[in-house]
Amino acid sequence: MFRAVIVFCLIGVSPAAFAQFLFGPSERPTLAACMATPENKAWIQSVTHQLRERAPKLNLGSGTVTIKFHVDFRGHVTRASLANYDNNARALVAAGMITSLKLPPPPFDMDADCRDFEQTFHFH
Amino acid sequence: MKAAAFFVAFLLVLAGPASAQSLFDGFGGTGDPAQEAARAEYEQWKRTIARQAKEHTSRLWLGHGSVTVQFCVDSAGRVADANVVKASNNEQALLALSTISSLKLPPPPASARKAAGGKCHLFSQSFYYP
Repeated sequence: MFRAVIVFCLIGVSPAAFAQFLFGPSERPTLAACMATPENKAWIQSVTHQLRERAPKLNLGSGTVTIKFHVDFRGHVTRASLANYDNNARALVAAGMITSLKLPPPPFDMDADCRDFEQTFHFH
Repeated sequence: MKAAAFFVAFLLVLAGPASAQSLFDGFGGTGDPAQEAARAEYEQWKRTIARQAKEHTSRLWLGHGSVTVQFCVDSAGRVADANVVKASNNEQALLALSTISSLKLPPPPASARKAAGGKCHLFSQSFYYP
């Protein structure tokens, strides 16, 4: 009854989110800057790895859900919000997945803005 | 969205091979070291399933309630089939089903695979939302 139905498209710190500042040039760090140190890079990769690992295999039809979320200094997901979705069930599954992440604490000197993520889920 | 709920994952065992275990196992086991080792290995595998289900549970708060999901794990460790057998509401049922379907399990121990004779291992997992 289950099939592999979710493919991840955009993973990691969202360059688009960084670029969207209404007033003047963004002071937010770029993805490259966020991943400049090996510790930061390893931690961001652990986020993407978990997202990939925890993809549910439910068949909920085709569609896309985009979620923005922040990870605090303890590694807890906070401030998650649905940026784009076309179906409540798919949005719920995507939100459930984001809120089930069990992340290690990020490096202590990591910029808080580097812990903002935007994740798009493609359901097939 | 509030990620603020506590979830308790509780594994009820309905596994086929487990149901065939002796009623007297609790009083000291079978006495056969090989059988004991196989049983210990199988119990360890079941604990892995319970731990993963707990770790993969979402912290979304969708009200009080409980959901019970029955699912089958095949010889490769894949969740082959899953059904909600009891649920307080549809949203919780969907999340529980999503959690079960996202499990990445190791294959069952060789002895358990042999005992199952090609059939999958049936489990029942309850999620409590206090």
